[in-house]
Amino acid sequence: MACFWLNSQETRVKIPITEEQENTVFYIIQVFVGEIYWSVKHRYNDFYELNTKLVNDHGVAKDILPCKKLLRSKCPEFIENRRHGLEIYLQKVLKFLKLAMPRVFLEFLDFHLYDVYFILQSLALKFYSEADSYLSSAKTYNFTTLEVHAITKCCNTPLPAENTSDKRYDLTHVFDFSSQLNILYINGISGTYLRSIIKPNELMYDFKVFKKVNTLSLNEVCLESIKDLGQLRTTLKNLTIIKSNMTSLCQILQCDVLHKYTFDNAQVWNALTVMDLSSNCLTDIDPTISLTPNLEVLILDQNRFSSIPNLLQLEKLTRLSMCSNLITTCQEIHLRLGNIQHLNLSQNSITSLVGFSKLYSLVSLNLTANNIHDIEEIKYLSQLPCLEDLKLTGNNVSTIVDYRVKVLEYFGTRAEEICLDNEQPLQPELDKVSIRRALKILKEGSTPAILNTR
Amino acid sequence: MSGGPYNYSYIFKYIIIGDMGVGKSCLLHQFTEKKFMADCPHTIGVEFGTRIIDVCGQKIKLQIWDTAGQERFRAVTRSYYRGAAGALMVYDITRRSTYNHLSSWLTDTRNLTNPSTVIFLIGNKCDLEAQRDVTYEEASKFAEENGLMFVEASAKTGDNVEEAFLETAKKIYQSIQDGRLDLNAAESGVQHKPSTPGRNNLSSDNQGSKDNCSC
Ligand SMILES: Nc1nc2c(ncn2[C@@H]2O[C@H](COP(=O)(O)OP(=O)(O)OP(=O)(O)O)[C@@H](O)[C@H]2O)c(=O)[nH]1
Ligand SMILES: [Mg+2]
Repeated sequence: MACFWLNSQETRVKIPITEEQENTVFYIIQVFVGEIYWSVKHRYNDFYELNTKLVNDHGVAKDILPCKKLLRSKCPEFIENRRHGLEIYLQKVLKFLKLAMPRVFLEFLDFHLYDVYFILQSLALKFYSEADSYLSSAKTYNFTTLEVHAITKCCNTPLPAENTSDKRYDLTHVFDFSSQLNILYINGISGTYLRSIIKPNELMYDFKVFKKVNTLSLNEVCLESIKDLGQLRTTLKNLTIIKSNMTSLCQILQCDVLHKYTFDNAQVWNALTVMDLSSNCLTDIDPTISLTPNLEVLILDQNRFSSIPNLLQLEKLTRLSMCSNLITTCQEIHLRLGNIQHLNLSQNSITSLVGFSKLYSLVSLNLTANNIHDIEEIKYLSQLPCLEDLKLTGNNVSTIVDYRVKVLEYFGTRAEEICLDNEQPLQPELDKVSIRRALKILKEGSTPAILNTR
Repeated sequence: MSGGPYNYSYIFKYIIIGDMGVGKSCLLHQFTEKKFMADCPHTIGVEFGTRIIDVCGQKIKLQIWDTAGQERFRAVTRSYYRGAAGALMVYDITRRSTYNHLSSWLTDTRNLTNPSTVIFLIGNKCDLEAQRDVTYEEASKFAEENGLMFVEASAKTGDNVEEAFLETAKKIYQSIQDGRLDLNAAESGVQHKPSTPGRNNLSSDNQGSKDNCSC
């Protein structure tokens, strides 16, 4: 990212080319700050307006802007002359205003979009007037990776802490606000940023100022750019990292530790109860999962798991979601999941339910859009005493004749308690279930047990 | 206005300075969280903390910059002196060298802040009486000669920590009331609450406050 105050000697402006759009000539300005550059385009009229303000308020000489000429302003030689004139104008003004950098001038050159210090000034202005309204409600805010980098950089770099006399731009507002946030969202920006060569996701940031954050959500970031997330270990309750190409849990849980698989009590994420790692590249859960012993909810949607991972160490886990993975078989899941109550495995390729037969604590099971063909498979669920909510739509099995009745039949006397595909059983369905069961019992010749006649 | 946590009338900006390891970050932590951090990492650059306090019936928000004592961050931390209303200058009573460096810290502070900045000297780690290397009398004399306020404190036990931060605020508040400190000056380090940017007139704020103020 650009940092003008550290590179004011290496800051230059050029106007290499012009561009015509809808009969208007735009001058393409290139701004170079150290190794960073960006472009910004303006019409002559923008220059004219800028100049008026600079002359009135900032002591810029009256006569250095190429003058307004109305005639022949489309002729190439004229444009070329003007381009050259405007370039020299900008260079003179930059030299003159280098120490003050008034807001009108830096905004004309888009410094407020690309420069550490001026981005923070814009944030300061925002928080100066709006911080209380954010902080008095949910205490939540969305930063970009660019902004959190600027905040981090400001703590470690000699920038003028206060360079304007205008208190609205005092950077302390940003730090004050950040230090009080509870819920922090950080959104990555992939590729290069706007019209610059800055790659926001490659910029480092840490969490030093975010002392009160208990909920962190990272969206499309680069995990390698995160420094010192471990600082949130004892306070973070809710962690979401999505679309960030995560391949292994240790990347985040042990991000600040060199030897990822040697644990120490100090590295436990004690407060963490909810973790959402959707839309990453996970194929398995590595042993660092034991550092989150208090996890209750784990969401692993849209990853690359081919089977259900071993999560027995998570004694408090009650809810697991693994939608849209590559799961085909589920064998003996009770040896992997323990006391799970809510399981979402929709949009996988599961064919058999045999592995579910001992998940005795299961209350809801979502198997939408899998490959279950055979109605016989349902028998493996029939002995789950707590099951109340079952979803099977989008499987072949749900297209057979009398599908609902046949499924419900497996649950015997509990049929009325099963909400199938979001619908409670209707009375006619329950009646049919009773009849079919009675017939079956007669056919098999066994004595009717407690027959459910309603 | 109601008495919610966001209702305060002023913001005072503080900096905490002094050699590395004297306990600056621990003092801040003790003041904001009321806890002692036994193994506190060295500060990199600067850190930040806030707390709302009550001075003479006025709610005041303190915005506190905790600076790194390590020499290599001096350039970073210097940029935070400007605009501080209060400076807490800390040494460690068990390490004489940290006391000896005070005059250079003081020179920096005087050069980089404005004349109305309140400077408060803290002799930290007073719980370690057995290892004392600087006497109370000596430091007290130094403070007096240089016109500084002074206490010995302990970030570990919390002794005198509140006092140091609060006394500094009282002194700043007095300066505002005496008119010695100009609220509108850029470098005063004092502001009205941001959400009421128009209220830069002190008298309108004072009408509601009680007269039985002890400071
Ligand atoms: N016994 C005792 N130890 C303290 C006290 N205050 C701080 N310490 C210890 O002193 C060490 C340094 O404290 P810090 O607060 O990190 O020091 P610092 O001034 O912030 O250091 P830098 O950030 O490097 O400038 C830590 O190990 C603290 O535990 C105190 O009042 N009593
Ligand atoms: Mg420190």
